[in-house]
Amino acid sequence: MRFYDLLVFGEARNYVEELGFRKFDRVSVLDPGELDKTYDRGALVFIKASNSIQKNKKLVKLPIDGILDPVFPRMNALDYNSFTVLRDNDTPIVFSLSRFMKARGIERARLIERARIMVKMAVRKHVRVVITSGAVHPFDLRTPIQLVSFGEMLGLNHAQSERAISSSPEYLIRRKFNGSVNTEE
Amino acid sequence: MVPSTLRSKRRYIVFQILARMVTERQAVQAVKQTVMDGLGEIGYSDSEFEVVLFSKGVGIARTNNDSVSRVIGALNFLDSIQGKKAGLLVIGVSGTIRKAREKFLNKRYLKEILFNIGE
Repeated sequence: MRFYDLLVFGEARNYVEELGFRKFDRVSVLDPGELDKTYDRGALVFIKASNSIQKNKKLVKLPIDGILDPVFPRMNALDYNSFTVLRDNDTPIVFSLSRFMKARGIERARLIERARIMVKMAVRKHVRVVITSGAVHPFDLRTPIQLVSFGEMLGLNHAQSERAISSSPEYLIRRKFNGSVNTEE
Repeated sequence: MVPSTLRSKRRYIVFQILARMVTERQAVQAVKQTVMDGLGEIGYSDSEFEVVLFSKGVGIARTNNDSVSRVIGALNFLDSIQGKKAGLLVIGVSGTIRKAREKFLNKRYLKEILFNIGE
């Protein structure tokens, strides 16, 4: 099985392969207001979820490759109808471990609670879920075993969690680049 | 002695600590505290978590079969030891301590990065 950790930045990128992941670094992460700015349109485009549910309703309709971190401690970032749109557009939701590591204590517990609700709706609506480490520093990197456990913590079963770091990211890459990107070992 | 039918199945998690300038004692304490923070007191006792071996940055932790995923999930959140930036990588999971030693104990990730545990 081929594993991908799509969102890895800076120095951490040098060590991704050592941990058993395929190397892939053509990913652009945008803030909600940045879509009209210049960015690498040849890369996978993930857009960060906004803390406004109304803005997120518009975001899910955009032709992007994923909604990044739709979790906030005190609100559900996406409603059930948004997941219908995500399913129709075949747009996944992407969770990065770093988002959860930044929070502490009750806030982290709330984040996990909200993420579980998002994952439940995603599974119900057959929306793909992608899990990444979001590492910047090499010490933030995690092994495939750990990312699978993180997925299970968010409410996916083991098989779904494995798909979230293997076939789902691979599907996104193949869809975007039509098999032209060399992801072979 | 607890009868074997009442004993839970054990799993051994081999992990590697990424940190600079921390002692083994501090590293082990941080690992236990991270699991405690992640699972809470009741979850910690349910998981029967214990660090059974730690040397040169690599350790083996014991837990029961049902809690492996939750313990690894909790270990993901280790990001500092004594206020210094740190990380934890799970190298593998095994059913016996002998297999854990044989298969994983000599394995190291991120060899290029210097880290000096255990001064």
